[in-house]
Amino acid sequence: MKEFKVFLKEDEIPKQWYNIQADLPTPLQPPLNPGTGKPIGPQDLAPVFPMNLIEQEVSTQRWIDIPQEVMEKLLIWRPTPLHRAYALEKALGTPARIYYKNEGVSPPGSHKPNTAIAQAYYNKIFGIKRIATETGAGQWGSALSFACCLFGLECKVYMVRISYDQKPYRRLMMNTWGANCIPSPSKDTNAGRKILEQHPDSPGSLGIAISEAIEDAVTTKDTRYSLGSVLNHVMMHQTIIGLEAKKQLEKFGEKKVDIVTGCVGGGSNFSGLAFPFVLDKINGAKITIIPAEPTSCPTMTKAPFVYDFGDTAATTPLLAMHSLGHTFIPAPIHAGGLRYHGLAPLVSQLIIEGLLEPRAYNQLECYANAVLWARTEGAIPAPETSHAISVVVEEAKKAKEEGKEKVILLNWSGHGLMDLGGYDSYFSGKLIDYPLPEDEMKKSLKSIEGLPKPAMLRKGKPIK
Amino acid sequence: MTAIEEHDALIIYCPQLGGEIPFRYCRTVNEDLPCRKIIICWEFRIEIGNFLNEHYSFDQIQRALAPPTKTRLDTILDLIEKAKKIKEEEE
Repeated sequence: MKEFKVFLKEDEIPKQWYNIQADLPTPLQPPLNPGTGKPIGPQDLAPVFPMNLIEQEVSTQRWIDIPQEVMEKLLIWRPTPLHRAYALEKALGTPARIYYKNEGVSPPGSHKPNTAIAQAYYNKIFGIKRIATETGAGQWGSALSFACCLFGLECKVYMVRISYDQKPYRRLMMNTWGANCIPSPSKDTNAGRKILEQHPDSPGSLGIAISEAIEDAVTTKDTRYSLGSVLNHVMMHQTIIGLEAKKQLEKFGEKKVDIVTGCVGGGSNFSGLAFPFVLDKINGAKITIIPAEPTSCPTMTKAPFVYDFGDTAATTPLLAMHSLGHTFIPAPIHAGGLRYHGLAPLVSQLIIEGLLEPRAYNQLECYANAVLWARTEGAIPAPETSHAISVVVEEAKKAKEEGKEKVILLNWSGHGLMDLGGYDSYFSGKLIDYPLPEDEMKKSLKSIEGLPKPAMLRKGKPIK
Repeated sequence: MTAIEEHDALIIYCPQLGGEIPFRYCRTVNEDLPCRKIIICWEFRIEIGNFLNEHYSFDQIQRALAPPTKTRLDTILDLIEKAKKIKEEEE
């Protein structure tokens, strides 16, 4: 009888996280304090993060032990199953063998508690009694509420008011796990009160909610702040996904994997699956590792790595980053705000190293593939996950054309049961593609032609 | 000129928040200016270019649609400094 999924025994779960900073061919540039222009030190971040997490943030130790207390909480739902997507393979008529790591089985429904649990633990042993954070529609807020509940920490979640009012389900998840979830802007912080004085009916924004959460953390005794993406230690906590997947692929009888993919927002779920395979690639394995993004926000696939100003007025210091050019102000008929500054620096450097091969997909194609997935494999994917599913479909079709039995591995980062509004818009024909026009970008990039070029370092050496 | 509230009740999925929101939110979220992503989200639903030109000055549009000037870490460091000052004042 063929195997549909492989579980690891609980004692087979990886005992350490993998820290890719140990193996980066080119070390990351240290972030600079915008006030002093000097590299950020631990004390700069100490008001909002416990020192043990700050140490992890800057650590270059390759393997870091997962504390027993963290492991016991992760074991509530981990190891997560690795599935073989037989029905999708059949529907595509591909010789490829498609596997997916199901991170949707966690109590909050996504990969996010992998770091929420670790962060709650490190806060607890540092003596912190309470954690504050912000959340949009509640994905991160619910993961952190769950984690704080398990460790007996108080949790205060500033939820963007419009979501708080209109989307009660994740708020109720947070309440059920004992968190205090309040609408932002709130009267609990100076930042919130200031907004409410001017705009009593403000629906809030992520920016306001972040301000409130950080003010809360800095001004309240025994309180710290928690962030669910972008930072290095967050990526590291997620590597348990890829480390488990490696063991499970072996149990499926696979000796090698050809393609590894995940979607990239802040980068944490992709990094979690991919970084352990990046290590293999650094050591010579032939693996194509593909982060997927939307065509409407083509940071990884279109924007060059340049020195550019951070603002349109050219007043900030020059930043080495993937950028579309600081004068990129779209004509009203074209898309705005496509330049995304939130890509995790680790992911950005791995692209420069040539270790990742990013791709972008249109949203209609993504939803079509998400529906195909739901009608073959059953589970309804989160809209973000559908970008990685699009990589799988494209590569599976390519394998069919080439007649090759490729092994494809996907991070199925979360279910879409709280995101059915997007599916509704897709089914009712309200969604339309909008790729960034080439000529628009070329025009914009002229603005940075005269600026100095950052060192594009691959394996520590300049790229010619 | 059409009323600025003309499209307020239309609903869209916001990829940033991860939920559905009305157009009114998109046109006011940025300190009463439109969201940075308003064009990309609404271009094919309404005449968003005309809407912006009718109701906002060129400077306002530029300000609203400009890309963020800070990374997440920069934002956090700035907010820490602000919060420290608030704490000092309270003490």
